[in-house]
Amino acid sequence: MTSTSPPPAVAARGVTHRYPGADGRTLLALDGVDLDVGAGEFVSIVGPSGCGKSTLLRLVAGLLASQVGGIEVLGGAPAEAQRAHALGLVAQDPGLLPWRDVAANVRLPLDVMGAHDPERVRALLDQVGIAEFAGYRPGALSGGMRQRVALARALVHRPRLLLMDEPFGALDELSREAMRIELLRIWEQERIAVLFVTHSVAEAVLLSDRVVVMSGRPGRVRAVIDIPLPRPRGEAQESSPAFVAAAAAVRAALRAEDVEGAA
Amino acid sequence: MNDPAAEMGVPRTSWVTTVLPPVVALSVILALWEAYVRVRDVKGYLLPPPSAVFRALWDEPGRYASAAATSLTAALGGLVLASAIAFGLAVLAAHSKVLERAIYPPALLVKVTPIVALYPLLAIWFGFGIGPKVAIAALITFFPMLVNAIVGLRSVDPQALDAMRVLAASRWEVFRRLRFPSSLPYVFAALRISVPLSLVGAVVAEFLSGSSGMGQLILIANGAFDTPALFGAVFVLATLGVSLTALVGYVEGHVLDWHVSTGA
Repeated sequence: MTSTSPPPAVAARGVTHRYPGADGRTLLALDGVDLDVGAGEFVSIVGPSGCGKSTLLRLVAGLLASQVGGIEVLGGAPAEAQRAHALGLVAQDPGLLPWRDVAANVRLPLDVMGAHDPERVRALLDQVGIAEFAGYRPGALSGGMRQRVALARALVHRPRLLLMDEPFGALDELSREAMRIELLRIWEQERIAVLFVTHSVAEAVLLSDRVVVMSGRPGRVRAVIDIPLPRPRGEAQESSPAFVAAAAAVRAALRAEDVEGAA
Repeated sequence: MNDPAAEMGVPRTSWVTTVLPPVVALSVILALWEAYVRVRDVKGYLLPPPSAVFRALWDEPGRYASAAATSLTAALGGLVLASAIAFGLAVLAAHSKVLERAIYPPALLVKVTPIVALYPLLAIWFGFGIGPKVAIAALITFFPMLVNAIVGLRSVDPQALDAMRVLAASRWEVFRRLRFPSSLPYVFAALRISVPLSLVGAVVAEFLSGSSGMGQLILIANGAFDTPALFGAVFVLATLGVSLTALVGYVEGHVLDWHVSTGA
């Protein structure tokens, strides 16, 4: 480490978030959540539906205004990270612009920033394996292909933190597995911090340095589990004893929550 | 790309399947009409045969052309004016619920008021030339564009919007790269409604003023019991309406080639 180590990608302390509910009451979505993502670290959040993991990601992204607690992203407020063009976002729905072809969709962040880098666009199209579809409109692509375009778009401006909200949730199992491997490969090259929200324990374990397990409503951090698998990783590891043990630990933490919830 | 339809042995759409059927249908209707009038010996002032209508058009093409040009100018003038103002207001309304609430009631008032009733007032304000005709055409086409444009400008893909917001994209960037293109299918839907309406507005204003255009031509033909000329005027107006709608469709097909509604 050099003397000026980069700031952590995410440092959140005591984040509590309420949504306005019916008849004037509020719905507690997050309750005192701490979250840390180091520079270049891959961290996943798993938890049951409605545990507030998407809310947490949107708070980090600066898409929701924070209410209680402190969220630092890359050493500053989320809005500052936005202005520094340091964030990339991939959601479950690719959200591509149907009137732009694939290359122009990937280029969108550069256009918004007033930047110009055709080399980078071409390199990313190659990296995610869609170079031959550069001139196609999204309407002509499969769901998996569209999600590759969304991934390339989220990376084109060289963000330092990639935020992924169930990015492969709408894909079929085969595309899903292919995309995991693809993401691992790209992450090895880009080496940026990733905050990854998912339902899938196997996905979280395969991809992450650490897995944050959240409890159901209201969302609390139940456990943070280190995944000591060596890198670079691949499908072969899914049958290794270390992988199976890590996945069992994550599942146990998810289940323990049921007991606690009943208490 | 290869044409998948041709590869699968499906006949491709061509003029045989698109243009021919309506042309044949129209010809059959005209032929039956002509035959009926001749066989039953219907009086010309009640129902002239198509041949007489076309003769009326053929004998005085300049008269119809100049009247059509006058009406068309007023209709398109009103349409362009109203569409521009309505879209501008829609941009404001799409960015602010408060402004939307302020804009809607007066706009609704314009919509529910029988515009024809405003003609005397418009004549006092704008004289008897093209002014009140443009105003009527504008008032009649204003609301469809306003409502469609507001809905269209709001119909952005939330994930695409998020992708731009995490880059701290300005409102202007979001407008020009996302909102405006997203609104275009709705804008064209509004134009398809407004184009025939603008012709109605112009001709009604000409009925009331009697000063020029297709409306005046119809009034004069009516006064002279010149039924072939009446039909001729109707034919010219129908042709105008069809042509303008086709023009909108053509432009839409090119501008919105990415949109599902324009697919085959």
